[in-house]
Amino acid sequence: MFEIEIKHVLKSFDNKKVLKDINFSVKEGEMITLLGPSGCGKSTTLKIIAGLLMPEQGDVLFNGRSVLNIPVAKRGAVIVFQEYLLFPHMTVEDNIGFGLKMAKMPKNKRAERVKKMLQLVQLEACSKKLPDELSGGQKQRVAIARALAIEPQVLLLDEPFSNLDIRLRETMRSFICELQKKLKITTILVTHDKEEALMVSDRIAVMLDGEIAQYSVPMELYETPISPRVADFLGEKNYICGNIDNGVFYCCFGKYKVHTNKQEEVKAMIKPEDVEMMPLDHKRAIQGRVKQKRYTGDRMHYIIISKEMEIKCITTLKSVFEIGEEVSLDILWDKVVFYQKNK
Amino acid sequence: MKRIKKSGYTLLMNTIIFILGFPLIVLVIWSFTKRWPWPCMFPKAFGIRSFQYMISPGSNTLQVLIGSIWLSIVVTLITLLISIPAARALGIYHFKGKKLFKMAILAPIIVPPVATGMGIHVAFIKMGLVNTFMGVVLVHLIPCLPYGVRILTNTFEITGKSMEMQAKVLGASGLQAFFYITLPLIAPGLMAASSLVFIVSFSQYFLTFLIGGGNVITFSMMMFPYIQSGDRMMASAYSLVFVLTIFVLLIVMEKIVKRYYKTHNHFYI
Repeated sequence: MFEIEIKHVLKSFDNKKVLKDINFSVKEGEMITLLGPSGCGKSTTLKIIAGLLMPEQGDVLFNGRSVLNIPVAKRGAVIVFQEYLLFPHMTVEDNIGFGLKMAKMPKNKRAERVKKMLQLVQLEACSKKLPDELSGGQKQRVAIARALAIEPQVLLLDEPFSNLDIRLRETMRSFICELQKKLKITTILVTHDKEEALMVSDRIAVMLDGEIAQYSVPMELYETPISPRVADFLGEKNYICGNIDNGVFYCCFGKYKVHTNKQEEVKAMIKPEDVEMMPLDHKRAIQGRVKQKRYTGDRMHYIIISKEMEIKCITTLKSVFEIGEEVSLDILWDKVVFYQKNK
Repeated sequence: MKRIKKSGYTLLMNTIIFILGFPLIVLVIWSFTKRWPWPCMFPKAFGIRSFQYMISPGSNTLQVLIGSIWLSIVVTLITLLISIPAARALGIYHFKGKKLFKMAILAPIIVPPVATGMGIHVAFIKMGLVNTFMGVVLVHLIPCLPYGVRILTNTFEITGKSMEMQAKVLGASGLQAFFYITLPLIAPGLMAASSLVFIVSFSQYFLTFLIGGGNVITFSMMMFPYIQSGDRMMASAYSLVFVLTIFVLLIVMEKIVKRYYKTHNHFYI
């Protein structure tokens, strides 16, 4: 399996810079995710790795060797696109065998491999069907089987789940994850769905505006985003401005002991789930009034007004508060992340 | 309500079929008419003189017909050969002046061939292409290319290049991707383009006459004198054969394409 390295890759379309100096590496057999909003350049990066696009500058290395001069067909990286792109005039069997046919594999060997692939994706019954006759999930599985049939060194998945309904997405996701772990193929997944990224990847690269903003393991990414932009992309956040002096954070809600080496003016990022709500208790420092609540099934999202600030809070359904009710808030200060204020 | 709608639809369809088919019926009647004097509603006498003449060895009709079909097939093939890459470029790639190219490709339809024909004639005399089969084929390309390129451009716009990209990612070379993937995908467009191009070439009269100089005789040139001289019986008979030839060829072509590629309605997804 290959180790991938992307070095200083630049790409622009019509004078618009789509990728500005992209750098990251993927270890052998690792599954990483390129996470970012649409139009941030994730798919372009994927196409450059596969060889469908040429970068203006920079290099793509597989196992330490540049592959820019190797044509798409010989690179050993396969993309599975969002639209599956099954060849409509070929049966499922022929679709899966297409890559093998191109590689001039003898017919009997090809049939054997196709059969194995069909078993792997549990579609033995559909081998003679045309893509038109398949459901979304089945098409997806054929696309995966077709890509895996040629035993690629690198598997590139371009939003492969976004055309599926939620339940199917769940199934396919774990299916592909298991497959990847079993076959140990170096995999890059592109998605805009943060939950998907957090669930499946070994590491996540957050891409914003053609740059990698942060590249770390899922938990680290979510708990300590490197900048407010990354934090905001991962979900709505609360920000409180204040000053830090000798490990004490001073803000409009009082002073708190915190662990950070940041100094002076800072912005504290507080995740809504790190805000605890409780019935009014005057001993607590922060009091407020519930302005809005939204029910999402397993959670309740509140907006609380306190000292003319809106504080977002996400809680479980253990205790429910009404709109207009006075409440007290507790912030888990050891989970708060501080940023320099000018950032 | 639904029934009224349905019967209205049937009525409309039947009217259209009648309007399209009626001239053909007249043609059939005329080709068997010996005498049809003025105030009479129906012909006075029937005969098969026209068809007798047509199959008589002296008339050369069959030979000219076959030659004409051959010429148009060659023109169609060359047109497709030029149109496929051109249309691919216009349909898939982005480049400066693309819109201008798209417009310019229609020029032969907008500018009458008479205007350009004379110049081409002179040029062809210099090149020794006049009175030759090749010369006629070349000059037929002029009115045929716009149709070929335009139809296939639309086809490529719909097909896009993603399927080809997928094929390449799976290890296909450029040629393999074209023959295994693109060609079957554009087959319906190819069908449409080649039928239209064939018809355009097959019905050319003026350009064939000018460049062929009487040396290369096509079927439409053969029937023209009859239409001009008012021999309605002969003219109708020839017209009938003309129409039938195209009809039969189109059906044959479609059958062949359908057999090669199971055109499963996948084109307009």
